[in-house]
Amino acid sequence: MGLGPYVEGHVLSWVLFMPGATAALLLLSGALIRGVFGSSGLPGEVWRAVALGSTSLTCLLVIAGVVAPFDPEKIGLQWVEYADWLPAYGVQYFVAVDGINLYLVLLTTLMLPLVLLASWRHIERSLRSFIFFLLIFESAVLGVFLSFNVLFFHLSWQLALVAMYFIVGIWGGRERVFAATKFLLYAGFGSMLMWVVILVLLRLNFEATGAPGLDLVSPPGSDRPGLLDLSIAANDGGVEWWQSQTWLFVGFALAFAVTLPLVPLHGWFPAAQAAAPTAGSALLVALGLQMGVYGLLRFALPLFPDAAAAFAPTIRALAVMSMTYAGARALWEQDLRRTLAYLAIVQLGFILLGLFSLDEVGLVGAVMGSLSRGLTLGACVLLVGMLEERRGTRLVSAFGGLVGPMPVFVFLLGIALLASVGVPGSSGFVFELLALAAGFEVSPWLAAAACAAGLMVGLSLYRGYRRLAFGPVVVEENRGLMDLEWRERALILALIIPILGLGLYPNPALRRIEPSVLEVARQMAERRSPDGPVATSAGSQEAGVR
Amino acid sequence: MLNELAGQTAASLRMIPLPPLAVGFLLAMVGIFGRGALSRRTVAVIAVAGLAASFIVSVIAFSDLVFAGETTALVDRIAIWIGAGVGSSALIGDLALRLDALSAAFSLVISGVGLLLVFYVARLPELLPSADADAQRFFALASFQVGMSLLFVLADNLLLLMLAFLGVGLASALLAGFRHVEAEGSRLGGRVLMAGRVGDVALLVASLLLFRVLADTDAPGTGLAQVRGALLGLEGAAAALPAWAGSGGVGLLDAIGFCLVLATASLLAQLVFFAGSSADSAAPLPGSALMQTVTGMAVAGYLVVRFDFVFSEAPLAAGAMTGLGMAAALVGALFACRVRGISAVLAWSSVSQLGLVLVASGMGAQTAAVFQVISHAFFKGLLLMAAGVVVVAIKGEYDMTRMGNLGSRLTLTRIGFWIGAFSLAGGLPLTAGFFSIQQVVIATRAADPGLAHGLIYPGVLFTLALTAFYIVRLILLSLYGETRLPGHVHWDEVEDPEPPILWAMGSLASLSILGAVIGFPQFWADFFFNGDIERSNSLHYFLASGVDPAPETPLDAAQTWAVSGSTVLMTVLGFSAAILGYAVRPARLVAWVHGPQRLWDRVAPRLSAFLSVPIRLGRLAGQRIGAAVRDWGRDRPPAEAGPHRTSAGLLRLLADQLIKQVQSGFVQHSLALSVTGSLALLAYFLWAGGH
Repeated sequence: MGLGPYVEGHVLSWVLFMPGATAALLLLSGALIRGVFGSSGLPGEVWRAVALGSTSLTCLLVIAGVVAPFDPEKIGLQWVEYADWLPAYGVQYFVAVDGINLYLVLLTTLMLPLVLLASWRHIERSLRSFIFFLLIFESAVLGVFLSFNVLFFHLSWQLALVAMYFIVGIWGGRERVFAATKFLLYAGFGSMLMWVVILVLLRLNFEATGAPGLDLVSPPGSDRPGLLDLSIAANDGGVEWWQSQTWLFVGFALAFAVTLPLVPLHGWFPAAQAAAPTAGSALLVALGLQMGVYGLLRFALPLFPDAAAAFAPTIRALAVMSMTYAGARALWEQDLRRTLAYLAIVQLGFILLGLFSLDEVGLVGAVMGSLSRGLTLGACVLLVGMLEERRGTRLVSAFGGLVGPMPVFVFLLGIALLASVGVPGSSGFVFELLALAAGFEVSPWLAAAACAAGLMVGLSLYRGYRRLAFGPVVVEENRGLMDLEWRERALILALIIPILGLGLYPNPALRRIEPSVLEVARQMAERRSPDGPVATSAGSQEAGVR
Repeated sequence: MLNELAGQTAASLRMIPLPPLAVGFLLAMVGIFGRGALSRRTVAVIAVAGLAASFIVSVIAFSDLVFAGETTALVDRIAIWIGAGVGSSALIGDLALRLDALSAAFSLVISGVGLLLVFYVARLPELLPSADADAQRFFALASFQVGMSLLFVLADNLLLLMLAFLGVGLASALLAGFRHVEAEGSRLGGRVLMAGRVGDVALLVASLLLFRVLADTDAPGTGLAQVRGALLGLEGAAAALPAWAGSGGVGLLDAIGFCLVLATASLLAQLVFFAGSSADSAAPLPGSALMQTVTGMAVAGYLVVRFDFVFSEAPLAAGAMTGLGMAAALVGALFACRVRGISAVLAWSSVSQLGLVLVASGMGAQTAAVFQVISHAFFKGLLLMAAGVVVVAIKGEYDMTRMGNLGSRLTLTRIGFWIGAFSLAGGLPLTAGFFSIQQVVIATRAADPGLAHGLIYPGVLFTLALTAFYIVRLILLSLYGETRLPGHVHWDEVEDPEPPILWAMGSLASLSILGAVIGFPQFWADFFFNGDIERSNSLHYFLASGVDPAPETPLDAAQTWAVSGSTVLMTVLGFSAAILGYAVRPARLVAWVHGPQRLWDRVAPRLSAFLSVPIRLGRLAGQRIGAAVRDWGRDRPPAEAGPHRTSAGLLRLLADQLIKQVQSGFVQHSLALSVTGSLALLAYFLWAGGH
């Protein structure tokens, strides 16, 4: 690749730091201009344009420098960058890409320019701060997805949550402060648990190797062991209770469950969705929620395979319960954004069903699920935001017959909604199919219940969509609504095209995801103790790769 | 030819569904993003051209298959569509098309009759709303739906089958909701969409179960031929199934069969919704016509016949399908006898005819089922075209009681009506409908005796009588008797359509008669030609390479004569009753009929109210629960709670006293709930981990 001498070999660092660095640069430039010229600093329009340029460039860099040259045949990490950061505390700068995070990184860098475009006119108050937090959020989420050091992962995680807290709390709707506080409390609770587990892992690794280290795997070309080389007792027989996989897995699982979000730890999510500005809401569903799925797959499953296998039936049951609850709640929901929040929980159920089947097909389905959930719900939330921008409300009852004044909007929303409920031909179908195929292997009745819950949420979405789009125009204000302009069409199509592309021809993506998933499955199988619990409820098959 | 180009693979198979799909996509995009870019005429020409291309390739592929010697199927493998996993758990679905005897027969019918119908609409634009955008929308949807139906019958694997099934359902919903600006159109579209979605999920579950069954037997795959071969190869398939699946009294194959029946029922439900709406013509007649002939009907028929290998091993599911079919046949025919809209009669008739297809397939008579679908496409296409001509001639009037004597002006259309009627009623030997219906009746007569089957045979015969009654009633009410036209229709303007439309109708009329040669039963061939013709039932032997049809002549000669006699007798009875009731109308008969009619008019509303009690109760319960759920956490004073406040009972008490406390919106309450939930989860995890 001809990316130039400064980029070549450090492409991930460029990707990771460009948004954050842009934010810092804008801040400094503003301060400088304010100090020198005594004006109010850089105008908001400049911030917006520079941020759009920076995030677009990051996206292009990911496409040209990471996704295009990605070798689908290669098992293991690619574009590894490694450096000591705080070696005394086991913190290394260790970023890399494999099939699991490849598309999540692409999704992250794709969403930011789209979100900026979507909020082009919407945000008027404290525009510069808003853009600052968006850029910080992007860098933080990229840190979460790219990091192979557990502590760096955790720090990025925290930073992402804090940035989102400000986005919801400052630029949200009427109940923004309440929603942001609730969000921070839940997220803080999860982060605290994760922090405790990381400290235990640090100690265990120190005891085993004599040196602090929190890298997940051994860095290429180094003999420094990774956490996956660490032997962790399956249960508390012979070790302290808090050193067993059971406890450590529970800590990680609860931390991730909050951001998934899994019922009953979901309370913050509908509130945050309803209160957040469109940009925050879209980023939350498209990226924020995927962090939990990614954390489970990248860290919790391979580090604690015995505990994961032991808890798998419970988590599958919880997933289907979550789906049923969310599906039922969605039936009576009037607020479109809240309905989408429940849809996100239903999709999560499918993802968890695949993930905790501990079958490679299910794991591939979970990765596809994260990607699809980000794309489909991101598109839905942005579309709802566009409608809200025009009418000032998201209540279904305020609309009707929109296909007359807004045919393009109705068409695009229809595709996004169909994809989000997993109709064939969309990315949603592919992931649900894979998750269910794995789910039917281990818990056929739960998988059937998941199908029923999916159907239920489909019904509620359709009811909302029909009331919104078809029938006579009953509210006079809706008659003169303007259809989507080209800017809006373009940014929604930027999400719809991959949704349909992944649905109509998913195999290129699956080919890139699968080797890495197989590697995770291999790691799990290797680390399983021979007398550990089996994963399937039927009790007839071993977990992991078969 | 295709074979010579690429051996057993035929890369051009993709050119069967592709043209209509591409046309549908193109017209949709132009319609949405560039309104008014194409004229109405251009749009019609593009749509007809797409279907014509598809039909031509279908004919070529069919001839290739027929002349391919030992080859039983042509395959066009484009790419791996979805592939994940390794070993026996690998889930791989190819983007591949497969043309075997069954697919070839259906693709010919779908593309051929679909072409004629779309051509007919193009030449009779008054059937569509006057706006160009609406016409463009119709042609886009029609092309898309026909393309998806073709993809469905050509799909080589379960996953592609699901994609096509969804496509058919989606287009059907959009056609049903064509007049979405009106509340009725919007509601209808919604119902059809949800019915289709239920079918999607049922097909998904069936596919995944099939896949898993085969994975457990080390013969994984999603290819249809592969699945069929593997299942048929299993000795006592049920015995080899995993333990979790066989428990609960229902075998896995029955479970799969039930899912397939549910998927078929979803198509049947779509037809019912179309029929129910035809009274006020919420759905446009051409859209309904496509569903009744080449998309919904054909897809349902193909689905049950394609999975004959499941039903042959799943007696419970096959029984359910037969029962469903019988119920649909009777209910459809009864409604067709009662409704007044000309398109509604034909739509209910299609429900009834699909019921007969399901009965035949459930009895294992796959040839009869396929032949019934094919002949139905011919004669129902003809009848729908003729009905369309009538409706256009009298300026959009659908009510038959406001027609009368139109046959004296629409003489050629009247001939079309009668040919279609004779074929539909199955009363006139030498029509396609006669031989297809007869094979259905023979299958029910030949089935094992038993309570259920003892009801099916007379049930089918009764359906035939009703069929003859309603179709003759339709003709007599609309084409004969006194003129009862609405005031705005000028008698002099009522005339037969232009020649191209008559040509299209003539083609279907010819097929309704000559189509008999497709499945000419050996019994009749022996009778007419003294045994000079062997293997006269070409369809039966043609299909034998792809499906597992029942024996062609399960009855002896005496029984066959008895069945034929019964068929003709019931048809004649139906004809006679209709002629007596609507043409002769003797005073005593009218009085005799009016007695039960008045009784029925009194009973019907009460019966309807009684039958709707569960639905109303369900809706009420839903509203109450919904209100309770919605109001959780809202501090509404009791005075604002409305009429439901005293009726939610325990649920309301719970919501008020307990749940509201923790979902009140106060952070401390949320936090308390969060911590409690987390601790409970934690405790459970620990407990579960310890065990």
